Amino acid sequence: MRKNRFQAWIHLIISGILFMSLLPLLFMVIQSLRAQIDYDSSLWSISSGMIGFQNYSAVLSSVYPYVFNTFTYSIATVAGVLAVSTLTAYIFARFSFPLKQLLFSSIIALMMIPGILTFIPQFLMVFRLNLLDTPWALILPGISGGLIFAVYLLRTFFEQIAMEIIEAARIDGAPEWRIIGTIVVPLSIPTLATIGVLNFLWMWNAYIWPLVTLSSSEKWTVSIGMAFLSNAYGGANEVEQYAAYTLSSIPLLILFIIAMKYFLQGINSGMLKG
Amino acid sequence: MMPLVKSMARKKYIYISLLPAFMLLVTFQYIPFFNAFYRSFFDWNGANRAEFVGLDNFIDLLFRNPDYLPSLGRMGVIVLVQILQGVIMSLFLATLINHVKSERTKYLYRVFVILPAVVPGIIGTLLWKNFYSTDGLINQILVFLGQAHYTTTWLGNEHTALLAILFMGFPWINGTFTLIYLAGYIGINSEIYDAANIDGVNIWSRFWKVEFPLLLPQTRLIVLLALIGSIQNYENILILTNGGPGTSTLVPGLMLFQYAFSYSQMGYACAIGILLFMIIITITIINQSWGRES
Amino acid sequence: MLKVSRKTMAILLIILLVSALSGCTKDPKKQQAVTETSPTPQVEQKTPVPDDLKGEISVVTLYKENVKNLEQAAKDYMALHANVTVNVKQMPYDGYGAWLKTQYLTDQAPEVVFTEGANEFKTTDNIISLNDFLNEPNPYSKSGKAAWKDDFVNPYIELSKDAGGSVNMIPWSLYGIGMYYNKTLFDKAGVIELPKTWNEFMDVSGKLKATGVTPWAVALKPSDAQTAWPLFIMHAATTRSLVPEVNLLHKDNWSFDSNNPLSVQGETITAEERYVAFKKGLIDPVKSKQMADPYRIMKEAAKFMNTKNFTAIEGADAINDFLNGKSAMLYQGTWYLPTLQSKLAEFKKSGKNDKAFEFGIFPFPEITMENTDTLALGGVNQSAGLRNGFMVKKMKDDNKTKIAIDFLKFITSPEQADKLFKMEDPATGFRYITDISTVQGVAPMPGTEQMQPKQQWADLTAGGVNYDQKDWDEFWIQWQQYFTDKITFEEFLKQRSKSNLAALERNLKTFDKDIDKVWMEKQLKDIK
Repeated sequence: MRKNRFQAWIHLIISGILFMSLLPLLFMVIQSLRAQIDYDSSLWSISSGMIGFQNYSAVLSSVYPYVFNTFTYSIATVAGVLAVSTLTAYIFARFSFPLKQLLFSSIIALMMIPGILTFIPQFLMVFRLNLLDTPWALILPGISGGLIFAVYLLRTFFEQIAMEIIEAARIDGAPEWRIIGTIVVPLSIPTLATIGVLNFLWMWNAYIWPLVTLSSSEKWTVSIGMAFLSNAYGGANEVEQYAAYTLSSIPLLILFIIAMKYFLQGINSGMLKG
Repeated sequence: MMPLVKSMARKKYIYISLLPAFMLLVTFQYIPFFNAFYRSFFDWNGANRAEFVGLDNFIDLLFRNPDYLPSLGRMGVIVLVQILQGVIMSLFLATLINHVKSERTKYLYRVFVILPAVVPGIIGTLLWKNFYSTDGLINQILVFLGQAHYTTTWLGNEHTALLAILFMGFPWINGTFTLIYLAGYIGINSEIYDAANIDGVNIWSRFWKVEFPLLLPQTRLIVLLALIGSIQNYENILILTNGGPGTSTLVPGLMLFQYAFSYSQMGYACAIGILLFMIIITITIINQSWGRES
Repeated sequence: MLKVSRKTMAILLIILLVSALSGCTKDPKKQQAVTETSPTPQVEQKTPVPDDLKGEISVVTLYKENVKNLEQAAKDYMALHANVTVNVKQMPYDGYGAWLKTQYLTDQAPEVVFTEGANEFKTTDNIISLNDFLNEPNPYSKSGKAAWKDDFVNPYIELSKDAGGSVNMIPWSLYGIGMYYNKTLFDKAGVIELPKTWNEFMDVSGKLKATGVTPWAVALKPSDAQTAWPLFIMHAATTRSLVPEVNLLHKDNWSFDSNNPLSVQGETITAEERYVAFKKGLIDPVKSKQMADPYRIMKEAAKFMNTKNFTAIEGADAINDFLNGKSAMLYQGTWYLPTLQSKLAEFKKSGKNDKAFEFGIFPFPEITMENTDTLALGGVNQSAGLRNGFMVKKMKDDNKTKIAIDFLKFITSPEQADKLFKMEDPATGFRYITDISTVQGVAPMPGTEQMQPKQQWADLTAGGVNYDQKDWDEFWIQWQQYFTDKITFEEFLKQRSKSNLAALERNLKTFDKDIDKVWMEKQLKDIK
């Protein structure tokens, strides 16, 4: 009885917190269904002027053509980040070698650099490497930026994996790459999923960088496509922008739900082995 | 020297394995960073005019610019509050979810935790901007509670603008942080739980004596992430107040942005960024050693 | 939400670049081009349209509303030149500053960019000076004028000059601003006659306020220039008497006739002239009544504004307050007319007749000798300024430069400009371009008569609000504090003076190679 009441309280508090943090999402969806003229009169009188999916059909063409590009860039970046950072973090977690601490600190230090500081030099680097207007202009800097955080996070996690499991595999004669593939990665699925989701999100929402590095419109990303909806000289249709935001977050939503499934699987396997 | 080289040669495969990461980092991170570092000693317009000025940019920033030091102090407050918000609220939510019995509900909650992340940040900022307006939600709540004398235009008042920025996003749930804590909870051996349960330890002391110490690595990580995030973030402030009214919400990140892209004083902007970098590094080293000791 | 704000900000950027940096060097060689600006006598002989052009250029616009016009122009141009390809492309307005900067840095920028601010890219040596080209004939023009520049409305070529004396963009459109007012609210307040002078304006505002409405909603932010535009025209008027004392490096035989707008043609206030004038105290807000008075006068209107939230809201919110009948007046440009008309029509259509008010427009009320004794040489010209134009990339390939210039001559010929400006969006029935043409003889958009620029007196703004972007940002901080009584008027002037001086010093550095240092040193020595 006491346990049940305790559970009920927990549910109540969690629901309250989650509802409040979901307000922006609700706000975005509701505004996207309204008519501009009602939006102009009041942000909140949502009883009238719901026009359904009219706004969506108006903005479909500024989101849809770029979804595939953005998806490709994001997936490639996420794959790169996960591959490189798993390898790097495993080495830092499981081996000792000269200069280890210095090398690791020098990676972590990169996290503290304000992004705007390196914007122009990074752009010039991409230019000199002749990568402008290729997907690599997004993917390679994306991997290099994402892996800093990933290495830090994964190293902490790998160090928590019981050494006996790895030693046992080593005694069995398993090569290191096999240990990574069959023991380390399956155990780290929750962490890897978190890193993957975060990097995907960064890539998906990036605006200025793709804008300056990709000049052919057929290579553009969703955020660039959406930028054409806002208008320098006013008269922009804000409700349509909300519709576009909502549309562009649908692929993210799907991805999150899939990632969450893996996250849960990882949890279960982690529990079994732990 | 020789033994070092020898031992490095013996472990050459380790270094080869690190190559992909470091090649990427050198190309897209270190070189651009040192480039910016080098430029911080110049009066540089970002294009064709660069004049070596030594430490002038730094000296001007620290001793002559009346906005810089106050903005640093303001940033300190923001960083501190946002770290606390990040740690406390995410830990609280993760702990609650961890105590949920039904696995399916637990799963659902996890989805909802990360769900707000699909919404572009600007939406939340605009929503809160509206909440803070003269007849916005916050003032309406105050009137409803009979506290009408406390109503103000929160973002237009020098005394409340910073407070409003800090309060924005209540209940300050960060999906990533919560997930990191949840993953941490999973890592805590279920046997420990059983032992604690058998001993009849209540939830509160179990949290402080068992769980919180075990979640220290996660906490350290989140402190670091919140620190970096809040120091670099200027976009919210840019949209909400643009540093005003007056300079009451100006932060170094926003100054860096203004000097780099509005004033074409790239060298000076680089100096702002480098100083910021040095400050964050110092705080981080302190944070790291704190984490290790405890 | 943020769009209007960005727009106004960009407009202001131009005004300030144009009006503040409009100085030029008195390097005799550079000056030559300027001296020839006076209308050239008409010539009979026509230069033939060049038919040997061959190549490809790209024209990029950052504005949706110009895409259709430019595409039409490109089509018409290519019909004349079979071997030329003109590609028209639109880029998003968001982040265009960073985009242009990076494209120029790596020489990937399009040959022609339609822009609101070109001078920045001249100081970074990315674009070419257009002075010489403007003195050439325009083969596409049937006006019979000898030089390309003669087809433009006076004095907007002058206004587009930077502190190096160089014209960096071919002007395309001007903005005109007027006071939109809500007739219903004016009737309710018993206002019979529209205010013509500042004092009448204060009376009318008082009557409006008595009915419980906000007379004039503004945002004291860079996203809303409503409180800054009046300062620009007021400063031009109050400092008019200072022009001869400030514009010392003028061309030979120049004399200032305040009643003749053409008398400032070819003249600009340069970086060093301004610096010297400031040091002399002529345009130092602390020492100069001419500089201080407009700030003081504008503050009189503060009590009729939305004092509760004018430091919090954005320009778009101020506009929305007017649209929703919460405020009675709005100081906006020609571009707002179609938006307002269509929104009011939509109110009617959706049965919200109570919201569909009638509106009118009147010119900004003029300040008189009753407000300031600095108006010895004439009053206020109605606000208008250069809004945008085309800049041409600095290229090794002369052929591309030739095509770019030829294309620009084509679209700014009176016949083409007239055609392009009159193009209407079939979906809305309004013009694509809501601004005023810089090319002479193009009929303004119907309904904008009250917002047409009126140059009654000669303006050569001796001293203005600000002299660069940083000065501008600092102005807004100080302006907010002054309007909310956080600082006194004296303190405000002191801070303004400090920001102005810092900006003038930065300008000396930026235009270092154009500055007559010997003259400046001598002048500065004389002050001491």
